[in-house]
Amino acid sequence: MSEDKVSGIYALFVGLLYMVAAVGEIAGFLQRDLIGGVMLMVISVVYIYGAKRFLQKKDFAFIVGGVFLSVIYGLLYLSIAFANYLEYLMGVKDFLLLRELRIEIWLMLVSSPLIYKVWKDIRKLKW
Amino acid sequence: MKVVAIVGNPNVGKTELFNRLTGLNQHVGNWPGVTVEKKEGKYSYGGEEINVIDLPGIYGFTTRSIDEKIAKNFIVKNRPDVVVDVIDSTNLERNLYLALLLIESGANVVIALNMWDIAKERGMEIDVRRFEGLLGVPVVPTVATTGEGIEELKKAIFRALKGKKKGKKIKIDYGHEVEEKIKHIEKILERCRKDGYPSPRWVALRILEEDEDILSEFRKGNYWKDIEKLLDERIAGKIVEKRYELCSKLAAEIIKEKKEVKTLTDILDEIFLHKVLGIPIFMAILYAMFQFTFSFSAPFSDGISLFFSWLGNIAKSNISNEVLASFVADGICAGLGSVLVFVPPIFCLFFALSILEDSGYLARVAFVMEKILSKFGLHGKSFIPILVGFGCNVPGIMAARTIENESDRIITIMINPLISCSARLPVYALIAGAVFHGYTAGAAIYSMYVLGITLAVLMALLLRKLLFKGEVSPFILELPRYTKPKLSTSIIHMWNRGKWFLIKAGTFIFIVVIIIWFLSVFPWEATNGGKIIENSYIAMFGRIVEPVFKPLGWSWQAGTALFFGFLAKESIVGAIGALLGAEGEGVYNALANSNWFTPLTGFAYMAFVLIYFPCVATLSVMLREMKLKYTLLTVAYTVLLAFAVAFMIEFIGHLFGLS
Ligand SMILES: Nc1nc2c(ncn2[C@@H]2O[C@H](COP(=O)(O)OP(=O)(O)OP(=O)(O)O)[C@@H](O)[C@H]2O)c(=O)[nH]1
Ligand SMILES: [Mg+2]
Repeated sequence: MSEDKVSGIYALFVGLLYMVAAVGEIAGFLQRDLIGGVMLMVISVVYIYGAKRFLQKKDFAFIVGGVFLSVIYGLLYLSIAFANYLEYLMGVKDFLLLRELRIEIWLMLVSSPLIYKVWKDIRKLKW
Repeated sequence: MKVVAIVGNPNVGKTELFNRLTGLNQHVGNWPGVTVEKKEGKYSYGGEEINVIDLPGIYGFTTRSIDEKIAKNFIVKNRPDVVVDVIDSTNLERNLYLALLLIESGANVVIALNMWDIAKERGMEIDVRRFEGLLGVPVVPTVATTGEGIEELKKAIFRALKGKKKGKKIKIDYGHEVEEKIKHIEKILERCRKDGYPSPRWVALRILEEDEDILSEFRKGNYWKDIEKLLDERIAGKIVEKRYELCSKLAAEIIKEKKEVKTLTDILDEIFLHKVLGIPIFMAILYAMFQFTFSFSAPFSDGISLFFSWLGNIAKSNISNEVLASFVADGICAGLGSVLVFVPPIFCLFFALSILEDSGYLARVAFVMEKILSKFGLHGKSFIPILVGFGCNVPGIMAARTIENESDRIITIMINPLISCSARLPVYALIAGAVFHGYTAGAAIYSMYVLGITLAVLMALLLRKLLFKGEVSPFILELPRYTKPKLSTSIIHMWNRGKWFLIKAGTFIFIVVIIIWFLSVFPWEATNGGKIIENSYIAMFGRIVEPVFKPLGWSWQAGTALFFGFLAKESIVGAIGALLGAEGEGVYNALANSNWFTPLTGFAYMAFVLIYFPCVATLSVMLREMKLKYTLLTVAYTVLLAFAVAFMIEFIGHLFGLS
């Protein structure tokens, strides 16, 4: 299998994972967060659409879009976890590491091969 | 004092250059239409004090919107000593059009070839000496963001002020037919002498181009009949065409090399401007922005809150005079502290907004929203005032100046108070933090922003149907280039806007808090030093307004706090803080323990605060930007809508069995 094909299929896989997580958050299997779940759904659709476009037309754009959102949400919840830790240190909140490492952070890790690939391809481009 | 005006197309870096020259900090953003009024500053060079004017961007002298008219009138009527034409080097050909117009108007032009860094990065090579030779005006390459070339620019301005010439200025030959007509009009003008305009040739050209501003002045005069005969749309077209021709010829000679490459901008635009996914992606970015604002800032807020509680307790135990102790602890620490607690989220919000602006994404949002908006009778450009309104409604309303059509503009202004500005954030954060838990609090706050936009759009539809019948006018919005936001600039932008919150907190919110404290502890004997608030002056007032808010299930204190929000919405949290007298436990906990709100009534209260009344600053800018009757109408509809929405929320909530 060519490298491109692998990337495309992997993006599809990541997209489906996001969908599972989205359903999980909306239905409350994971942390219950209705709007957060809807946002995961958006990321999922962007990835799946990106995978389709990439496999069919070699159009990379929406995988870039998916990666972009993955990173934003991953960093967002990392920074929130950090903030909650500070609150814990101040003694105003309890802190459970596993609860703080939300699914969005794990999903960013899962997408890291794509993040790497996008970063490598984009670095060469001019703004 | 000598006057130097800075002009140029929108979003070429005029304000950035102005800030560099004057050392001021006017607002800069990566989208067209940031500056909508003229701004003044000063610098001195070579012993000469120089007055600099920053103007809104224009493409030419045919102007339709308010901001464009301001720029044009200043150039044509005030005739500044030097006009600095800022040109985007990467967009030379189109920018040359304005340069030609300025030279033609007889202005003393100095060209700043800005964004020189980007041109170089893209591998463009521009022949500056040849540029100067062809146009006959000084040309200085600059990078406004770093300050490169600013000294040279100052020098060139100075030389131009002293009347030093750079060869012969370019003169456009419009071809036999047009030139004949110009001569003809010049003859007529000799007889009627119009003073205050650049030159007869310029006036003749403006007449032939059918510039309404000039034509209207001649309509009343004796020579109108002679002039009217000469007007011809075909000629007007020819003049413009000739200039465009010249622009591309000049550009071809000046630009030595230009490589076409597929850029990141192409890829990003494919994503962000996608006709289906563009909007969900925007909603996801917005949600991330608000989650960040609310959750990331929490520990910093806690820190401030702890600090004020500590201070309050110290005051209580160390100040022997009871009234003074109460003043420091319950008034200053509890009231002001509860406002300052919100410095972190507000700064976070401004930080996120400035990234949104500087990256170039803001204009894209306007673009993807256009299709939906126009269905609701909103102009595409209205979305920029909406997004700017997230920061503050005052610049949001000002940003509507770029909208050409008057009814489009008024609708845009009238709905802007529904956009949730940063001053309302503290109220949401306080109440959501007290009645909701964890991520629900963030979601409740996010829903306020969405509610604001939704109501604004529906209101626009209503206004369009009832008051401003007719079609939405089409719009063109130039998309800026994407840039990687820089941490340092984002922090500067954050500070420039956020400091107003601090200034307000230090001045009149402070005064409001003192007044509330006074009213809530006096008469001292009756309230037993503020312990029995029911006997205080403010409770008397509270009784009067209680019936109005009783049906919504809000305590009289919550209702009373709303009145102080007229001045500025942040005052509401100050008022709540002072009324709770929450010096010991921090305003969040005090409110959570107070049973003022259930989750449902709290949520309705948040929505009420979103909608109920434009603050004083917003009112005054509305009065300036549109007729009194529209302002009154806005006030009336916001009050009614606030009650309607709050009742609706509670009613629907009850249906679902919430309380
Ligand atoms: N790379 C680079 N960016 C620049 C330069 N000058 C300005 N900018 C950026 O370009 C954007 C527009 O700058 P502004 O100064 O707001 O432009 P303006 O011409 O005043 O725009 P309007 O007021 O909307 O007409 C901002 O994001 C600036 O930081 C430059 O020389 N190089
Ligand atoms: Mg500007």
